[in-house]
Amino acid sequence: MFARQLGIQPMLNLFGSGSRFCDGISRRSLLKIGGLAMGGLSLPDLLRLEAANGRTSHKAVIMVFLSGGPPHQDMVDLKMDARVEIRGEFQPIATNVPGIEICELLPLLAQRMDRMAIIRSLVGSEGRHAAFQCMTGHGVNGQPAGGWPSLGAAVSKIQGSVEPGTLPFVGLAPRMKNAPWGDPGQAGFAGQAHSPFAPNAEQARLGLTDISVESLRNRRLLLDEIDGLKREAEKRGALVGLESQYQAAFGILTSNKLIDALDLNQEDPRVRDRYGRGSTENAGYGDAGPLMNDYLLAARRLVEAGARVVTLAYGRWDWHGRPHGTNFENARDHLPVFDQGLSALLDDLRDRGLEKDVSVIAWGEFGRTPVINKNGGRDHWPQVACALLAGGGMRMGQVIGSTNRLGEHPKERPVHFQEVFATLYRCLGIDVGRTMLPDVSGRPQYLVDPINEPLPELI
Amino acid sequence: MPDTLRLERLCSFTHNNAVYWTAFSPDGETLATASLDNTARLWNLSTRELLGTLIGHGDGVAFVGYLADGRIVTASLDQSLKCWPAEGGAALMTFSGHQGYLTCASAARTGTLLASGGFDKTVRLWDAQSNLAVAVLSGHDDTVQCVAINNVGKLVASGSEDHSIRLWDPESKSLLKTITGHAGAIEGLAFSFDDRLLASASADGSVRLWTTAGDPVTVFESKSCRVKSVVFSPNGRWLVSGSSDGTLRVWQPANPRAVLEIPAHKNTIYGVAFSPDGTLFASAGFDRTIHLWSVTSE
Repeated sequence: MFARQLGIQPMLNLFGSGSRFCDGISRRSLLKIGGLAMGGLSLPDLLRLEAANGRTSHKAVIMVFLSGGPPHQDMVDLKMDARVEIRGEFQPIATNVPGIEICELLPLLAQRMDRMAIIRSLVGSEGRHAAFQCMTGHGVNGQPAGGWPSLGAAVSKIQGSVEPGTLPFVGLAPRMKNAPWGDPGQAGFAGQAHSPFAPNAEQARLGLTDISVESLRNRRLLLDEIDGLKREAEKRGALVGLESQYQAAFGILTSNKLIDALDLNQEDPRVRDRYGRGSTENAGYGDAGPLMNDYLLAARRLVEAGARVVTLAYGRWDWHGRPHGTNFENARDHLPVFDQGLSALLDDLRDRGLEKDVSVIAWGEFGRTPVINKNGGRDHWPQVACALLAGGGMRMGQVIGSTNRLGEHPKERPVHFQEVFATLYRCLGIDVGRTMLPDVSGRPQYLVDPINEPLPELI
Repeated sequence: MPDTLRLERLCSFTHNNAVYWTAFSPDGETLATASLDNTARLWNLSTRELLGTLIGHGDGVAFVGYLADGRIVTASLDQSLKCWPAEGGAALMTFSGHQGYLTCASAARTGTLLASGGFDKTVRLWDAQSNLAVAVLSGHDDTVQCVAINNVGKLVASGSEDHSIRLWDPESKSLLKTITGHAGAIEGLAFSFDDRLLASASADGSVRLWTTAGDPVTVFESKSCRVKSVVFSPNGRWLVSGSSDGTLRVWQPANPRAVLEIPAHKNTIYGVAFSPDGTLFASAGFDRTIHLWSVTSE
């Protein structure tokens, strides 16, 4: 490769290894942020791909993965006619759409129901504690050669970058003890070039893992170092003669757009307050995503900076009960924060004119048992789950599907994960009925099983 | 005689997850808090700054307390108890033996006796002097949710999901009495400072007073959901409970109704404590917050 011809390391490590920034981050690890997260010499590949693909309008998806499986019957499908062992502790409240009620702990979302759609009959969960199905639409078992690509990877492969210097797929999940919950969406047979840019999962801390004053100060120093690196490269002419893709890739790594998008310190503090900021600590026992509303704001900023798909792992929703708090104690902890953050995101997208272009989905890997267990918890219930959707030009202000009186199984209109994926792809401008990608054996694969089509209720 | 309690919130502290317990140091200068974030924290009550964090447990910390000599005791869902120096630092000793989640513990105000209970339905006694397990007390039919040692260290009470309270003699390691009356799990227990009364908080929504011989004295009906925590004021005039609705309720023995109700937390109140001199009060909640209150009476 060209870089090797210049006697330099791949991964755009223009000045060799060994040099470290003030906070101990090596340049190499810094540059890895864009490169390794995307699977080696990926950015040039990505940019070549981009060049080979025509531009589309900038549609995007923000996927909020509720790690652990949120309780559908305590959020958007309350069962007030059920006996107390099922009904739970919460009351329903009216929304701004007549006839639709949701949990009292979601009052802000209730007032935005006309801009949301709720699926109460999500089926097809494989019952696995992992983000995989929410990220890919497929189960883990029986994958084609190379593995299923996640939504973001497939979109990256098909549509490439919005414009030079932007990244199509960003995953904001941090490292967490339960790695399957921290999966930001694998590349699969789309190829490692289409892995997410994952700033919070890398050891290098260009991302949002620390929002303390000290870390912001360090990050400012880090950004200064990047500027210095860029100036030095230009001064030494190190970029001259490189393939245009390499120059562009370097541009992404030093892109003000990307760095600015990740630097929430540049955001109006009042906007951050509206989102609710949140905690950088991984939720639960360090094994799940943080309850971090700043990441919702970062997702919007990343979309504005060119991302087509942004995923994040949000909170810990695996509420089996005491001694780790009852389902209801955990709901009182999580739901108000989620309510504030998601409401702010919906408002922000509307106010910035992005509502029709950016689809938002919040969901988890499965629902939870109708019967409350002896420890005040609800256990895994793959039979039915819920999903919240918004934006993307979809038809809002409606509930799709229903469950039986006890919330055990769908009563009307079961909706499969893959139908949701077909809908999201459609919102991104991709026709799943006609689009195929080759797996690593060269066999063409549909993105979702062709039997599944976009939800007509939403499109 | 003036007998109205006032609680005025002074400040708040936080953890990164639910707070399960809180205790004042014997000299009243430090507040210790235990959290589901796997740590206990020590707070300087003069400066209101974080003094230190006790790190070492592998799961949530359900209890933190002080021995008479100032050492700190923690108990964790990881099935172990640990003793720490008064100033924090590395753990001095670890007690293990529970065969399931350890949910509750107590440290004697005098002596070195520790008690703990958990999902294995046992109450276990430990000696923080010799670092030895003293006894395994079996008899409860379900998870032990709370345990308390009286002030002279001669009586242990345990409360369970089986709706019963059991009184144990730590010297003979025998059951003294099984107390029934609650219609739900026993969530909290506290002895009065003169060791004459035992208070129990229950998922049935009530707080009950008993003699330490196990005879019923009073029933306080909160008409709320689960009552999770309870403590006597050092002067014995008040009883304060914390509930799953986030409300603190103040009770007086002669009055079946709460004399004061304060919406204090956004979630269940797991821990309540008075400072040794009775001038401060702390409440700890699942909302990740500890509130420090000044106590006055008129």
